[in-house]
Amino acid sequence: MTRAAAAVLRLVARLVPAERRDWAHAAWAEAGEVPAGWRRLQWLAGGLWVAAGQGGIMRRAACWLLFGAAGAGVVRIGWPGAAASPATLVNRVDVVVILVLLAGLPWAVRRVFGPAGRGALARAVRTAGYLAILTLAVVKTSVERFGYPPASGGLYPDVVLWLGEVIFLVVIAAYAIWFLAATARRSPAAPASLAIGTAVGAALGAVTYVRVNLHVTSPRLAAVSTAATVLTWAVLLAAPVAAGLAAARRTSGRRGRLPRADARQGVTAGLSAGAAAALVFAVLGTAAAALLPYRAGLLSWAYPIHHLSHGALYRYEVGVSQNAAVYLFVLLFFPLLGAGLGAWGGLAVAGRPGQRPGGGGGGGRVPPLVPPPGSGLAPPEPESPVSASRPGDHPHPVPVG
Amino acid sequence: VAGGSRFSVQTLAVLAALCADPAGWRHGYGIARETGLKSGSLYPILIRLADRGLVEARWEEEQPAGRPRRHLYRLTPEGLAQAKVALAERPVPARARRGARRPAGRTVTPQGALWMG
Repeated sequence: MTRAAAAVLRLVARLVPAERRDWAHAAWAEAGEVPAGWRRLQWLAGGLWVAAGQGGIMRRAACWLLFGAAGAGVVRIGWPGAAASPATLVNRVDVVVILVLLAGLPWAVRRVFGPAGRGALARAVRTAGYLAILTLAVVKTSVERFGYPPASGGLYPDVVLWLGEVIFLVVIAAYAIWFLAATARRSPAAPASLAIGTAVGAALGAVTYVRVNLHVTSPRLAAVSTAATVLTWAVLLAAPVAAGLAAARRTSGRRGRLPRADARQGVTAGLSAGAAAALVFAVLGTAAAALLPYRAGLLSWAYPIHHLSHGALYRYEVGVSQNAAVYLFVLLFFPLLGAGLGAWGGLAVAGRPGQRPGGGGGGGRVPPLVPPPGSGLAPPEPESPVSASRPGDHPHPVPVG
Repeated sequence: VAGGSRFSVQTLAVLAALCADPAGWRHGYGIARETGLKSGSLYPILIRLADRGLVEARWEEEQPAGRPRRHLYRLTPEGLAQAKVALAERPVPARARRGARRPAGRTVTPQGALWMG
């Protein structure tokens, strides 16, 4: 039993990040000193607990379980469909490709940008991004099933259908890569840029969705409607600039910092804002279309003022499909627009001192940890090797045995 | 956390064990025996202390016969200074105030560590 536990501990120690692996090996190496039997088994179990904690193995297992459960839900909703409908094959391709992308991309992105960031912000943004993509996949399959009923044989030729599908999957892959890269340890985005951009973007997506879907029926309120549209466009254009500006101000502060560093944080904040806005907008819009009643009778019941014929329902189906193209355009266009406007905002503060020193982005120096008052701990020296190291670096490296 | 100190009772026990011979290198099981801590509690404490720069660690230099090399620990100068302050500031238990005798020997449990230093 103890031999098996020792073997498991040695195996788990290999999964622990290099800078923490010595601690897991230490528990294993000293197990031989502990009297054989129950006490040694207890020692090894404790070592296993430490190794699992240091390697984030529990958290990783929980993440994979959550992803597995979400993936099972996506398959359950997205897979069924009539064999005659072109939507069935499209949906199944969507489900398989998106799940494979989300499962496999972390490994690929990790090679370039490092493992997932340790902070709560990185974990929250990564989880929210994944959930948004999975939700979009689910609601899209529901809408596709409705937009391409077996009887009609589809509203567009197959070539257009599959071309749109390929573009959609490439865009989704780009979103997943962005969420993974932005929340990695060697992320090009500073935490402040990521936080500001994502928060602004999520709010922007919700505001845009509300404005697009809020229709004024009274002619007397037409002016209000026009004003709301103008205001929405103004916010849509100004918010990424403001996010880039705020991110650059928040992360700048070092003397001699190049303007392009501010611009880079502006770009990352704007890109985060654009991506979050587009995803929120697309998910809300597609979900609303997916959740609407699909039968003319139900629609008539829901909207008793307008009697809806089956012809009207067909027009509505066409509208849904056209909306899908709009959402694809938004998913493509918003992040690019956000990045451009964010860079502008970042450049606006280039060279000016920031509000908070040391918060630079990729390659930026991490501010040293300052002990709380009354702790008795001396604050670290400004240029000490410990404070200059990256968050993942061990301040006291020990030789690997 | 013991009294006003930022160190827990268990951490104080580890600091006390390392303080007993500040120049010497100690191995994990030795500290565990002295403090009564299990490996699942001891190593997280050592990791935290090392992360704060209060403890330094290294592997045994020579390969001993019949067993793997051990991971060794001792207080850094900063760690020693802070340990002395923390151990001096620790709250004195009621029994000690009443003049109770120190436990015999060098065996220090987490509670026993409060009498050390």
